[in-house]
Amino acid sequence: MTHQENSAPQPEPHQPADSQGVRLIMTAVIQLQDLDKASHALEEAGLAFTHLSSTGGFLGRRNATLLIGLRPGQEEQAVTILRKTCRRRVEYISMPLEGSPYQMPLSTPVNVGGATIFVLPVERYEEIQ
Amino acid sequence: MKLIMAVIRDSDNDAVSQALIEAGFRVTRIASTGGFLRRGLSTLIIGVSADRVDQAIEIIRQSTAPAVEPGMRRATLFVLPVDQYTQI
Repeated sequence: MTHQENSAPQPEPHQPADSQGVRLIMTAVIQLQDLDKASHALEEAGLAFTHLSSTGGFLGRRNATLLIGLRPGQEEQAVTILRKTCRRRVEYISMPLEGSPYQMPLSTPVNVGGATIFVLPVERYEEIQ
Repeated sequence: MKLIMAVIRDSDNDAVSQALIEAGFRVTRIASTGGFLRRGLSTLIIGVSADRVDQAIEIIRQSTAPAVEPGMRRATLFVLPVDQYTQI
């Protein structure tokens, strides 16, 4: 995680969420294919984040969950970055053909989302140096 | 009830989890990765009652080793409010 306050360290370790602190945490579930692009863009914008490997519930595909700590005013920026870097795709899954006497699987298109984003409030934010 | 998400280094994971568990906290660990080229982080998810948040943070503070490079963080902590907490 990058953060810009290194040059001006806070004297007290117990630092309550002030105007510069992280107030929101964004949980974004994105496709694995978009992870590199999204992390580069977030990194360039100076947004601090960490990522977890996760698995989607419906298709069972591996995906990535980003946890992004947001300081005041960074929420829109983060959404814009994810909107630009995470694409909506069509995936195909095979499903048995209904009512058919044959076992012929049918390719069914499924829309896979660009990003699923949850923004949660942070009551308290601390960095232990 | 609060949820603490603590991003710590992998190398501190054992000590931190052990110390928290000994103090009666319940901890779930997720392997995570920092930003570009920053591997080796763990995210701990800790559910605590509101009056024990300070204690949990103090334990994390005490069980993480000093940062290797100056300016590096030992831990990043987010405390989130919990609307509902149920154990089944």
